[in-house]
Amino acid sequence: MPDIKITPQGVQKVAALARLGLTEQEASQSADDLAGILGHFSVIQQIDTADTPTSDDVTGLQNVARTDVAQPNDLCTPDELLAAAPAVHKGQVKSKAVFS
Amino acid sequence: MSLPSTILAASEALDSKKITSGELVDNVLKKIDQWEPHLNAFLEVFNEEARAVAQKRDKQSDAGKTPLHGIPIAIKDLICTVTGRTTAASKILQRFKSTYQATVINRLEQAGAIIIGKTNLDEFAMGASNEYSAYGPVHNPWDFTRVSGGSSGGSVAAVAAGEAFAALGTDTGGSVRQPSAFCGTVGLKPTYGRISRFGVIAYASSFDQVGPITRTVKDNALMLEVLAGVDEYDATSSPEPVKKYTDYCGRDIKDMKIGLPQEYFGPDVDPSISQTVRAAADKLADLGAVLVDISLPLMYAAIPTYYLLVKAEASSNLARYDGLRYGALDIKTDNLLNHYLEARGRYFGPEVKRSILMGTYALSAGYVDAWYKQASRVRTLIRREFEQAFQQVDLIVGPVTPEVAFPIGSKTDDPLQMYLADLLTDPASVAGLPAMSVPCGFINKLPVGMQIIAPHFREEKIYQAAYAYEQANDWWQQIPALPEK
Repeated sequence: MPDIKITPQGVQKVAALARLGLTEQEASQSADDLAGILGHFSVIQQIDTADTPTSDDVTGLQNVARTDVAQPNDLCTPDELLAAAPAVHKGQVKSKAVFS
Repeated sequence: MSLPSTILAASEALDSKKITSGELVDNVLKKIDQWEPHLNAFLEVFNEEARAVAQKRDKQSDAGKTPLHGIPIAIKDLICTVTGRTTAASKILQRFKSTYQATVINRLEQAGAIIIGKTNLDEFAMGASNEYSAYGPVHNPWDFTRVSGGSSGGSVAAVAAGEAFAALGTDTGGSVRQPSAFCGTVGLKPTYGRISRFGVIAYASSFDQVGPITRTVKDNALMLEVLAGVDEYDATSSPEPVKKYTDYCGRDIKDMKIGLPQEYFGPDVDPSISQTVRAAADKLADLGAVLVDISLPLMYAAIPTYYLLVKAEASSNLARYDGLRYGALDIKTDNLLNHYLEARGRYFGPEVKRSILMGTYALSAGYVDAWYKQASRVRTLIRREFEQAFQQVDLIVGPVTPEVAFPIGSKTDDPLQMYLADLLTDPASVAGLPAMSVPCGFINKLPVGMQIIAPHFREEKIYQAAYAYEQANDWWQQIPALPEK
């Protein structure tokens, strides 16, 4: 099993990309867990896939599309959706500022 | 009269006025009361709502009765219902109330079913034991010290214990089949795209499938007839015509070719499981099937392929849980980024965090070719290997699990060991194939499941073989004993 090196700092970098807050203890445990799991999973890197395409669909569906028109409100209404939001302002969902 | 235990028996009793839907619901609710302190299979029970629907069903005239008229059914809490909450067994969705229902719920209701409640699962369906639920594990009805399996552990335990006549689960890498094997129910993962995923909380979108869980094979076929079919709201649902699956229950299996892959009976599988499933395969041969030894040499690569792809898809799918939508959380921060970090850090459980980290890593610049894309190419090779096998045989048969239900707590500290529990269910998932777990015996009073895998959209062949096997045995008639109060 090849040695996969993952440090707690490396985990924190990935966690930041995923917007996931982790404690130091979680980052350290995750580094050990992921190194062990990915070490085990690295067997697939020995498989020759030079001429093999990726699997983007498993049953052969192609070009599935619908016409670009608004659907009737038979699932729920915009008002019901807005009622489910934590805060609303003039018919729109309100959140904290993205840019400070 | 003795109370019916299957959908078909209950329908017959309803038709002949021997029982009312209200009585069926009352009986199921009574069983829920008796079993739940031991099982923890339900996250929410719809007592009043179910009784009200039953009353309505009992008042409807006999004309145009639908296939699931008056039948109480439980739903994995990963599937959106407008009644109650939909939590995915996660704290991050603890207050989420869906504004619309999944297509599968609408189809069940149109068929006359009564939704009895929402069942426990591993958080966001990530797990093989139901121990990763934020609301406690589900206990196995055959032995409370053991896991139910997962991730559809609550749905399966509920059906095994008679708390519902059927249940919906979801299966990404074995989450219907593996707990069905552990608890002795019939569980089908249909072909990818056979059933709409609209309104089902996404784990890994190129794998996820809703699957019916029942006591018997014919009940399962009936459920699939109701659930299957194209849905305008799910672009990945297939336009392939839906067959009358119940018609295949009772057809003989003479000359049906059944492949036994040597890798499904390898050293990582408990010898007593291999023996039990081989004996079941021999029974299929007694019934006229022809057994063929085959090989699927890439099976060893199925777990890494599966987990790399699934966790990558999960990291993307779970990006939507930002702590702002899907129910308010108790977070007080001064800016948006800190809100995200805190919501996701505090309210996701350990396996979900591990998944997001692994998936983000496998998709990140510099690693995506070696991990994600390589796994996707190996997926193509595994699919081709199954396609070749199905040129030789009609069905593939093997065990569902490498061991019987394991003790609660025995794998939770070792995530890799938990992943390896999927050894025999991941391959069919990677290839998008339909596969079923059907009860085939007991080891030390714990159920064992036989897995039957078919080519894409050939679920009817699975039902044909599974029904023939089931009727030649009495495993399905054995039920776990109701605990004393």
